[in-house]
Amino acid sequence: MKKKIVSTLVITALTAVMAAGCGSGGSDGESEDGKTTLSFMNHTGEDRTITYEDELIAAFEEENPDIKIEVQRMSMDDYTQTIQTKFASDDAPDVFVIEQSNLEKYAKNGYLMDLTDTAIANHYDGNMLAYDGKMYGAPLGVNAYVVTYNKQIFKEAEVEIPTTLDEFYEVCKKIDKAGYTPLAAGYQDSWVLMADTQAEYVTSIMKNDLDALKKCESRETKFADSKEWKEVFERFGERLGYTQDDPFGTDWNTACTMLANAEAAMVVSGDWTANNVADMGENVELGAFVLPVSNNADDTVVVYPGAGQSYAISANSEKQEAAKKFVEFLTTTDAGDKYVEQGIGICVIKDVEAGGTDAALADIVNMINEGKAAALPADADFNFTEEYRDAFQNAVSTFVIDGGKDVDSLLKELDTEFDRIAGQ
Amino acid sequence: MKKTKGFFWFLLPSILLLAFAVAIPFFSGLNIAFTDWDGISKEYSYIGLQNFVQIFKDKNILTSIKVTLLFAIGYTLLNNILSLLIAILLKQKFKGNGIIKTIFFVPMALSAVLAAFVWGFIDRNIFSEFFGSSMLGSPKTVIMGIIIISLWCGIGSNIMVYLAGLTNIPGDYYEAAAIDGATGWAAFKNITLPLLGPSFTMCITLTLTSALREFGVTMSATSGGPARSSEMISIFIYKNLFSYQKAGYGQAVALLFMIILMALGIGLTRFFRSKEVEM
Repeated sequence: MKKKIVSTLVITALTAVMAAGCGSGGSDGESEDGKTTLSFMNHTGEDRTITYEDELIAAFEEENPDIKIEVQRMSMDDYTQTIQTKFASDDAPDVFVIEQSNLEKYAKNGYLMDLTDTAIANHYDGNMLAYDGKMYGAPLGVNAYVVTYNKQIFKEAEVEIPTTLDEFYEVCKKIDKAGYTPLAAGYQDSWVLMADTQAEYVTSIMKNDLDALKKCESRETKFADSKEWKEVFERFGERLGYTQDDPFGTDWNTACTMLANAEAAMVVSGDWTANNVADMGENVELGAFVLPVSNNADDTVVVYPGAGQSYAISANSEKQEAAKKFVEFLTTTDAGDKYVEQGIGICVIKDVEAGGTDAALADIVNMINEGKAAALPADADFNFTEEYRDAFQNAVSTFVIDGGKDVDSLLKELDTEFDRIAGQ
Repeated sequence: MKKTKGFFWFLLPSILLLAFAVAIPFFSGLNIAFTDWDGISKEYSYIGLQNFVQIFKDKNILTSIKVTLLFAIGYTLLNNILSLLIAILLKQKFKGNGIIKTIFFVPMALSAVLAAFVWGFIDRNIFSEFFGSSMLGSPKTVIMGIIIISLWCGIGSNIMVYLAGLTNIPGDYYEAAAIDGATGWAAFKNITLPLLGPSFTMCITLTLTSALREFGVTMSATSGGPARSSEMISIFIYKNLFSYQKAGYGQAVALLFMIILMALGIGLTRFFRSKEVEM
């Protein structure tokens, strides 16, 4: 009997917990104390950026005691899918981040609020994400694809920053001889492989042809017929020889740790690498340079779009006034100054001073200031669209697993897959 | 009969839960399989059976079917053999028996995401030290890697079922058999195995159908990679539904897949039931 009473109690308790769980989901509109709660969704992963964001949010909440911000962060790999599911189920967060690659799709379907006539637009000199002449996204920074390197290893191996392809391979060889892994790659996270190849094709192909990716998708360009794409993968394959073993068993953070602990000398990705690595080890000295794509040093320039990841407001949000206030707060010159000062990235907000504390970022800013840069329009998109992107990634993964030698099969596979998706 | 009628009310909460969480969403999403919906726009149009025709033309789904079968069969075999062995060991009376039972069962309380995270760490830092490369990072070993993770977090329930099955076999049979000279393997083959019939029916059917639906561990450990080498059917469906903007097609595959799974489940249960012996 005693047992029965206990189990009944346990079941009642569990049911009560369940009911409570169902009941507390009400985040709609105003909460009990008259505060407006804004949901804010993004895919910030770097500790430093999270701190920066949290500080801004706290400052905003202090200034606006009637508004509460509820942040939800997830990994980049899940983000796009989650947000699209939320759109489709009418459950979009009030404020979220978008990239150029999704802008058209979201704007066309009416999920984004038009920011053209808001005070937010005044924070920019034309760097905003726009579609059909209307502003939909308010960016903070731009992303540039660079090689982040460990200065101590470079010093020890007695190598200088390479500006041509031959110099780059020479550097890799010397570092290898000095007993370090030249390159660390964390392909277990699928975006890392993409960013790695982007560092190749953005500097070599997209700098000259903004529509290069779209042409591949429309099948105007066949990979097998393109000299440029062939060269991209030849360079990429050659580079694999200097990468640590088992790149698909290594995730992004492990690759970054290798750089921080001075096991590996370089990571080919974007300016975000420095931001992520800097806080992993003590006294890590990092620098950045652009991955050489040819033996002409003039080709080695920073290629970056006019606008990167941007804040957007849901068109269906019932709290647009509060959301506008919040985004406005996130994109002031002050916020931009902090962004640069704390070494998060390169800022595109009007009147923000360049500079900052991060040596690797300073390297990139210096290159831009010296004119060794090519700024692409704000609507430049470095990504294939989703299904093509996956196909691209799978084909390149197979190429990597097979040793990175067989470029012709890779090009053929890419054409077959792209044909299939395009319905040809 | 009259007395049991009142018990119906106790079923009501779970029926309601099932209706809201499973049945209603299922039927309200059924029509998507016959549309060209991209998963995000507000409008879609009906295109008849085109999506289903497409399934049979899609070469990519073959990879997923192969991967899923490999995983499901491997997992079902290993899971049932291991859990039966462990159950037999745990049936013996020894000190610390209870604690060991709990140890086997505890991982079941962890989420697939957490299990994949923990094992991903072990894989990267320990497996790769011993074997030169990690299991999840190579297409040749990735399925085995996922099987190991799934075994770790899923074997507990089958152990419990087999243990209960073993406990239910009366000791008299073994005593009688021992008098006739049948012990050890002979007793196991002629008494234990046949009398465990109901346990086999349940464990094999449930393990196989849940393994065919495998999603959580794989998604969090590899997202189907490297190079689609662990892209189970459920992940194939997920990618079509949510990332490739082919929600209609994804839903069609899901529907067909569900019908096959149901048929398989019913077929297997029938088959095993027909083999069971009365005690």
